[in-house]
Amino acid sequence: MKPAVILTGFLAALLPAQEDLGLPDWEDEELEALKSGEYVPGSSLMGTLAREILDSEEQEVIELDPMIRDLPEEIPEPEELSKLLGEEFVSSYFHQPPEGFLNDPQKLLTTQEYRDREGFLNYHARDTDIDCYLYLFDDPQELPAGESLETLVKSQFDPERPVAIVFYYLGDPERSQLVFSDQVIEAVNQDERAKVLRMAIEEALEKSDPSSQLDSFSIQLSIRLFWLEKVVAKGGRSLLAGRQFVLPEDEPLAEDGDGIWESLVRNELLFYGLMVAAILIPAALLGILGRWIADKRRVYLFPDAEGSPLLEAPHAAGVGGVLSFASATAPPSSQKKDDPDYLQKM
Amino acid sequence: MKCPRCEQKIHPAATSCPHCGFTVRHADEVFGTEEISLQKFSDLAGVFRMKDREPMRKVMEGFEAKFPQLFVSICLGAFEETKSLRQYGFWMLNRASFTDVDLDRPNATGILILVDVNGKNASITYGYALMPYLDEDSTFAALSAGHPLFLQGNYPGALKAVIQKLEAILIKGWRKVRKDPESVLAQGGQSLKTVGEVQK
Repeated sequence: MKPAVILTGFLAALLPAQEDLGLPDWEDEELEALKSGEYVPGSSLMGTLAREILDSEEQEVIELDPMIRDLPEEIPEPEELSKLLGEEFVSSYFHQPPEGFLNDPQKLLTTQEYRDREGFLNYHARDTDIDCYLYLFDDPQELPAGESLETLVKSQFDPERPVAIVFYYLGDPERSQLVFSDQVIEAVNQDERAKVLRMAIEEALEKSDPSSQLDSFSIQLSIRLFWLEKVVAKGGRSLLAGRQFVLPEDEPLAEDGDGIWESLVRNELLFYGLMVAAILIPAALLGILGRWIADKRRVYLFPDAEGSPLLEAPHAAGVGGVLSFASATAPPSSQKKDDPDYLQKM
Repeated sequence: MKCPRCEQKIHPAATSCPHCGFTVRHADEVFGTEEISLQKFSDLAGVFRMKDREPMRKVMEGFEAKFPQLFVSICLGAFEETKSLRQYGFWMLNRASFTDVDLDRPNATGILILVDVNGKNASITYGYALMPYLDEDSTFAALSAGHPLFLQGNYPGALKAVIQKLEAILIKGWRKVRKDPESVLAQGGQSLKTVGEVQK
């Protein structure tokens, strides 16, 4: 109860004070002076000297001392950006295992951009055997002496794992470097490996701003790595199986635009089956058509016969069926009219 | 072979029905003794529109092209007073002269389809030359092929269906007679005169 009583008393003391708060009222004298121009609002801020100069009729021109006036203007020379990677980052880049698939110790990407790219590389790692590690550098930066992508791969990555490591320079995709681990190098020839980087760079150069370039680069890189993996798998091998497979030189990497025709040519059984069907089916159809035409034009001749006339009829005694079609509900068989009318006088 | 009047079976050589004594003369007494002239397609009932006549004629000519020894005739009329369409057909095929049928196709090679438009009946009568290949059942089957169209009043369609069915039946008979002409002809009370050249 005590704290509540104290709080209530404190608030009660504040309430009258709040009533005193408000804008100050002009005093009559000050208001008259303001209206007559004697009082200039803000004059106290300008200082007494300025007030006097403003009020005086003599407007002196204040001239600077020639010594000061003739001093040459100092133009600050732009500070030359260091092209060398800061020493504080060297360890993070080259002497430690990567913390994730995206490595940006210099915080070159915004938080959101970093999350997006890292999410994408994680997704790529889940879907493919060849993991991709991306190290980001700024556009003009140079690697410290004695450090290189190759040394990083040898020192920090397991050669038995299929891995692609990329040094990517923000804003300058053409400087990008890509190195595969030994596992991939043994399985895929040099041309195909080079193609991966080349196509990723070409895709990045389609964009203008560095962030979009990185997006396109990483997406294309992922696609090309996926295709590499497919080519290796087509030979019945797996990069994870630890077996060597060299892509045949005469079998190019499947392009996105591979058509049905290429697939058919590769599958000989299906190809020849379709070829035979393509010949036999039209031939059969032509045969059926020919038979149909021949039947349509066929002429049927019956043998000449002779017989004695019946019922003294000169030409015909063949009395056929009689059908009634009076009822739409009864079937034809029930409407056969074969009532004898021999008792009927005609 | 059945008598047109009493529907009893008669011998293929009977000069009159042994059951009722019927001959063609009895039919003449009813329908007249004078020969009548008729075209092979006669729409006495006027149920064919002009645009339907030409297709019908082509169907009939197609039949004749396929069976050069035969012809088919169609007669549509209101035969309410005719007590027996069967007898009327029998009499007509024996007494009618078809003016637009070749002379080398006598009535004995003809098939007459009679349609009584008012009485809602249709019948088929055929000449001696067709007796080995057609009978009451097969002609009734041919008429039944047109039954749904007859019911709709679609006479052109119905008659086309009937003729197509007749063609199929005759082709079947032609195949049979090629294999065993004598027995097939004997079924129709006929014998082989000379075997015509059968084209393939």
